[in-house]
Amino acid sequence: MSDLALGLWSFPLLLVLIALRAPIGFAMLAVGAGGLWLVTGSPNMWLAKMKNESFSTFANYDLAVVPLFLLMGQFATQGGLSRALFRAAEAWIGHRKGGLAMAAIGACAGFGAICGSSLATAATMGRVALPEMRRAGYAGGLSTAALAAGGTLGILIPPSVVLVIFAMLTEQNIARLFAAAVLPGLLAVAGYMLAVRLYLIRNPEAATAHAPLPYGARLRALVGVWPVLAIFATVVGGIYGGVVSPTEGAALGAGATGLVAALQGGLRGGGLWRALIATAETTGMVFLIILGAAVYNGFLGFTRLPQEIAELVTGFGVGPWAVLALILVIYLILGCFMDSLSMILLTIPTFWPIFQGLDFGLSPEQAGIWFGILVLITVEVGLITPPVGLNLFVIGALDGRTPASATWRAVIWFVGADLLRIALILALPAIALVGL
Amino acid sequence: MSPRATHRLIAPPVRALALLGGVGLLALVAMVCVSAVGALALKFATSAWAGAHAAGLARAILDSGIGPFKASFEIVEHALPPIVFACLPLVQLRRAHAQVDVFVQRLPSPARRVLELVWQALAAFLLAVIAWRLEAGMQSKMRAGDTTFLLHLPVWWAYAACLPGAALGALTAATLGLRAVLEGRDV
Repeated sequence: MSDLALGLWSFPLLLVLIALRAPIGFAMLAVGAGGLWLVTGSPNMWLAKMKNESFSTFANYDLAVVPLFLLMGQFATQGGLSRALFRAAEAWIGHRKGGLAMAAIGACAGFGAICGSSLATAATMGRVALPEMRRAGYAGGLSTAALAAGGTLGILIPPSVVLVIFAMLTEQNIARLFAAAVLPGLLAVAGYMLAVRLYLIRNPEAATAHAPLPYGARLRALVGVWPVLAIFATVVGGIYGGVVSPTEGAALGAGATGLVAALQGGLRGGGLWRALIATAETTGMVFLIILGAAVYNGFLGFTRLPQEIAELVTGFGVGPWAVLALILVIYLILGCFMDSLSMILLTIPTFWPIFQGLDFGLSPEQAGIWFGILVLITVEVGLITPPVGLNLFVIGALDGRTPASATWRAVIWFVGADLLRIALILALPAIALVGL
Repeated sequence: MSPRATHRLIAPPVRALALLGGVGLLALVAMVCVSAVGALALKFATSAWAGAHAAGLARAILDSGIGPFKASFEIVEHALPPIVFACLPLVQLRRAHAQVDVFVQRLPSPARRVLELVWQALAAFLLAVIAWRLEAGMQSKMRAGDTTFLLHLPVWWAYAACLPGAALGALTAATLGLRAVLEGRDV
């Protein structure tokens, strides 16, 4: 078998291993190492490489952003900021019909501004908002669907761990990507709120309304979320303004969020311990995938597969839009089974050279950022696609009483909002190029 | 010793190591924050505005030697791999890996157990290889006498600090794999 064929066959093999529940990081590591063995005829080259690679893959200043953002999210979870955010959003829009579901989405957006992970956002906000919606008489399906969808705002709204990894893989500017993600993130909030309204037109009995709060109480509730605004401004503003490096911004954010959590009493009674252990668990999980992807993509690069595919696609004569659409459809399908980070680490080294060969009439930098935002949104759709979206599982487990089918019927509206947004950003790249 | 007893024996050190990694991360947060605030203070003190309107404060900042901690960069780079490896055994112990469960859930329980054994064995093997390679990397750094750029600390220290995590991770995976076969634990 030629090197190229080996590279080509490695991908279905990898997918089979992953479908058989191999840990994705180890699967990529094993296939990459085995592939290099076959290509070079002996294991020695890989073993020699690993002497450095098992250390140097992690010895990267910019990668420190990942555990720091994870720690920041954990502090935010322990610090009770989720409750303050929900209170504030509820005070302003909770009285409307379906308002609690919209408030939950708004609060998720706020939480996403200090947390870079979708599962953590869904779990944290779900714990706060689900009981409130149940008490107010909301139908189970609407509540669970709104929170599962709202959870994806954790990654869509910067800071975002997925964007950091995308920036690293494609050598893009993290600050620019963060800035570019803000408007699409707000569009997502608007789209999800619209989905709630449309769902209620079809199912008017699914939600209730009550008398609005006086403005004094609303303002007081808003004051409770100032730490979130301050931290978001420091981290994303500081990084975007070039005042601090992404790693410094993430450290300041983690430090400040930790301080807020400590002042709120959230780190007492094992809170700090829980935050550290949860951060360690996710950090180890993410970095193992990073190592596996580095080895696997090192092997693919050795077979020249990504360049060959890129040349093939360019020579094929299909339009750039068809290629881009195909890439996004692949992400939509993979996203139903895999987590976003694994998908991006696995595929971007192959898709990126293909994308770079396409001409959309944008400068290389603009095109890169537009692609990053499109990929970010598309991989997140998988989190709420029935039957296997991870956020659906997280919220389903938290709720415990809503049948999965009820959640699915409601979440379709949110998936629709996502697809609409993808189409919109495809048609109008300018939405993802603000501040460029 | 039975795998179950081994499991009980390794769980506390796995948690302790992960916690150590978390504490290391906290230390990095503190260091980078102090450095970033120092850099901002220095930027302020040398700005034209501070020279004109807060000359005393600017002078005081400059005289105190406040500024960025230049070695922060290399400390982060060399501390991150040991922190990551300290976290890996916990991921193994709690089965917190990114993995796709939906297809396997429909398989009969013996098949799931076989798969569990295979993946734990693969993890144990790969982590052992990584530990072995890290050790070889450490030896070569030691022989070459490599030191970090600013602080002149031996680079092999950082490699050595990765070893416990990689080795304990391999041991954890081996234990979980054995439990799946010998005790027929359903996963």
